[in-house]
Amino acid sequence: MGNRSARPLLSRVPAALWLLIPVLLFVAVFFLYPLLRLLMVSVPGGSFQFYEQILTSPVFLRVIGETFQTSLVVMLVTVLIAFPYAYAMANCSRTTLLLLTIALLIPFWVSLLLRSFSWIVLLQNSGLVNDMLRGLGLIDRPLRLIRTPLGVAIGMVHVLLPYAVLPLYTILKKIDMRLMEASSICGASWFHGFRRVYLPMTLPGIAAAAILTFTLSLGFYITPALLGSPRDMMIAQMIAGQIQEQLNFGLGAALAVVLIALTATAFGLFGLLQMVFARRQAKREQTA
Amino acid sequence: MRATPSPAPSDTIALQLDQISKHYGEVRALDDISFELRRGEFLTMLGPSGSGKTTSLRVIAGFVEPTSGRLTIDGRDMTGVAPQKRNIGMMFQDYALFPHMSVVENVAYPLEVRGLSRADRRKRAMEMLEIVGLAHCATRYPKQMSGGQQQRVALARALVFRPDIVLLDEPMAALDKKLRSQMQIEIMHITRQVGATVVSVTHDQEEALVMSDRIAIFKDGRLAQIGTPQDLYRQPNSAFVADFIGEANLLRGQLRQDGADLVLEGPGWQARLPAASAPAIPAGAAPCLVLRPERIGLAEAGSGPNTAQGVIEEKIYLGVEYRLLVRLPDGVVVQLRSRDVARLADLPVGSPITLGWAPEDIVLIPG
Amino acid sequence: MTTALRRILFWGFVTLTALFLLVPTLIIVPMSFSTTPQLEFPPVGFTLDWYGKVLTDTAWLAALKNSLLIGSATAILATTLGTAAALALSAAEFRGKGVILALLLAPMVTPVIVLGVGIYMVFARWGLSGTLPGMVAAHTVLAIPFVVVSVMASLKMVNANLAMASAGLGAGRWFTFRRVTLPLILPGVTSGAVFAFITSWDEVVVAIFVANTETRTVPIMIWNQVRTNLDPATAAVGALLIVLSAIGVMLSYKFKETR
Repeated sequence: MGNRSARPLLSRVPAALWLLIPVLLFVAVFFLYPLLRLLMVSVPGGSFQFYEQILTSPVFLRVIGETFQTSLVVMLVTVLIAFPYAYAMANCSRTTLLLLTIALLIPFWVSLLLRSFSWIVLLQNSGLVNDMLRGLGLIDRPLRLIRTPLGVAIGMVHVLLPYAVLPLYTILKKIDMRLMEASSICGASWFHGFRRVYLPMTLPGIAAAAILTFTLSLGFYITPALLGSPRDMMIAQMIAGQIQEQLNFGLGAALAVVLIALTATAFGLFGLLQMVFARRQAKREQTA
Repeated sequence: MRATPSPAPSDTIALQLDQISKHYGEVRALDDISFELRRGEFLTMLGPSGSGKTTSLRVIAGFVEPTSGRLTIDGRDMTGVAPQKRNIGMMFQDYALFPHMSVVENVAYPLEVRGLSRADRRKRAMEMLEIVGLAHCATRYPKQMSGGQQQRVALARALVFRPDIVLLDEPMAALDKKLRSQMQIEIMHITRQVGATVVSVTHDQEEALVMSDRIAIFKDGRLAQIGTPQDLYRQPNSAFVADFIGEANLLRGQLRQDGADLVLEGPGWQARLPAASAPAIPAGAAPCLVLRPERIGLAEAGSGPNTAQGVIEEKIYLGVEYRLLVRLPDGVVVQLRSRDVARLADLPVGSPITLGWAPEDIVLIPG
Repeated sequence: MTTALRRILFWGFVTLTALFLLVPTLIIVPMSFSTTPQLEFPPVGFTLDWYGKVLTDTAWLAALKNSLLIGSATAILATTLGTAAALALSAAEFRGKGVILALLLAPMVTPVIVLGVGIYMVFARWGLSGTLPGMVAAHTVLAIPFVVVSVMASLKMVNANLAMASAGLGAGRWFTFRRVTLPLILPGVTSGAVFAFITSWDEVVVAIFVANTETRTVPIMIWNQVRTNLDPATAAVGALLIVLSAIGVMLSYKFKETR
């Protein structure tokens, strides 16, 4: 006891940590508490009736399933498009890299709302896309693109592409292209080398891109609300609808909790994958 | 290390470069390169960076398409043939081992590509690993191995499918100095043991001398000279080659014919050799004398043929020998190594000295 | 497939992807000059009327004022809080640091709709709904992660010995921060502030749940417009926003470059 405990407890906290107190208070009040409040509202009087309702109603299950399916498709398409783009960025001249980066970052910086707005114009029956398809003679009547799941998917892929390209690019640019030369001099065709040498090394990047796009997709609100139809609603629209139109706060809150749980699960999965990759990497590097 | 019998190179031409040029816009990376390689031969392309040796290697591998000229391997024209169809093995400068594959998977990769069964692949890869002395490391990953071990894995991967030609790109560049001399001999032994035809690239003359049957010296995108190490050392065809292979003193002087002899002389020195043994010096070229430092000795005072008069400028004692710098009357400094320790001990810096050499040690080149 | 053909297909695909990224973003600008009241692309004719209409419309101007006010206040608040947090997190190693960092960055990965609904519920009880301070608080939560990331990145490049050297020369903490640390991390702080402003400037989901007709921002106006009628006036607003964003981005990169 004696002297040491006489020292005030607080003075042992490094002075710099006092700087954290305002931000922690702020985040607790305006971020954590609202989320906690949602949780509380979703179980009024400790009853799980709203969760029961969600899990037994075909309408809600369909929306959740629909959201999952859309997110999965959007994730696949986004990663498939992002991979060649990131590959090009990782293996091109400085000028091309600059152009590709600008093309990637301009949409990144323009509000999602505005981009959904231009997609409405482009995809409407008299829009540019339909005009072009008709001009090419591919269709003779305008294709219904807007207010369909296809329209939603197009808009979402557009928003998510930069999120997939950037993590892929950071991995791809680290890959030594001489490994592909080594593969070809060993007699492997380009395709064989790509499959056996290049692709396995890109897996961490692909995983990062896929999980990021998938998780972000789950919570999309603006794009499906503007480009989709109420029939193929996603979960975020459902939440907004319950709160703003049905005024059913409990159900809306429960749906929000479900959405956050799904997102957290996906992120957890991502963490797990990262760990697997890190462990494999460590295994290959530990000195035997 | 046990000496391995070195099979004499056969007479079959394994590789032929015929007037190969590579231009990048105005820059001539390769200019009219022609040479042949016999099966089983070990050729080193030697030269400073930017001399074209690496570009030549990449032309042979097929990573670079020459602007003009013809490349044949075993008589087959390689124009437009992709690297993977050339049946060439290559060891890259930093080895380019696949980090996600184990050692044995790396070595088996060329066999996998060639459609061998899993069992055959493993058997042959293990045999190859046995040869390079790494059979006990088969399941390790490249990052778990030392630089020297990685190099041997890379060599095994380049040899395992018995390629027509094996290319080594700066094979020692990634190793520390001590390991280099050991691996030079080891690589030489392994490649001879499997009878491989090898083209190596380096800027290290010692490495070239140790490993090669023949050396091709590159300068500014052109082939300066090609020959056995002995040829290049004894009969360099230019000051560049003389200077690049070993140490050389270059003396410029006046050439005249004196009966059956050719005489080249300058202030304080004279060299005389039978005209029959001298190469033809083109008219207008300044003739130049090449003298190796270890071929110069101390001579009796007096200005006979094949002697030089000078003043000791610097004297360094190296145990078995002295290293001397001698200044000639016109200011040119000659470097020599002499084992005449007893005599030199009494000669202080600044004393006059007479140097001499044998007529057969003289090389005359157009300067 | 030959190498040449593969190259053509590959670069064709990449070019199409770049166009896919750019075209829907950039067509907003030409559309705003269209003379037809119907929004279409390619636009018909050329007029600046829509800009005139927008810039004299009291509703748009009020929204613009709100956006600027909320954006600036958010930038100041988020930058102050976020910079303090980044300094603390970079200065010391302590248990729970990872958890705190994760907490501060969490708003970045939380679905905005969830946050919007949660804030909507608590703000109604606290009387913050429809108020400017409420909007600022909500946007600051979303902006803090960007400031923290940006400032921590620039702190990583600052030699920790400099602050110690300053202390060793007799400078107090605040003096050291003002004269040594802050000037060195200023580029990170500035780009964090720009990020924070743009986060608020573009934000619509949380705003939908918090704002009322008095406090609605430009994105909410656009949202309402897009859902009711598509006219070139909205495109004109969009074009103005794009130009403003571009200036913001260039400013933030400029600050990053001058370091």
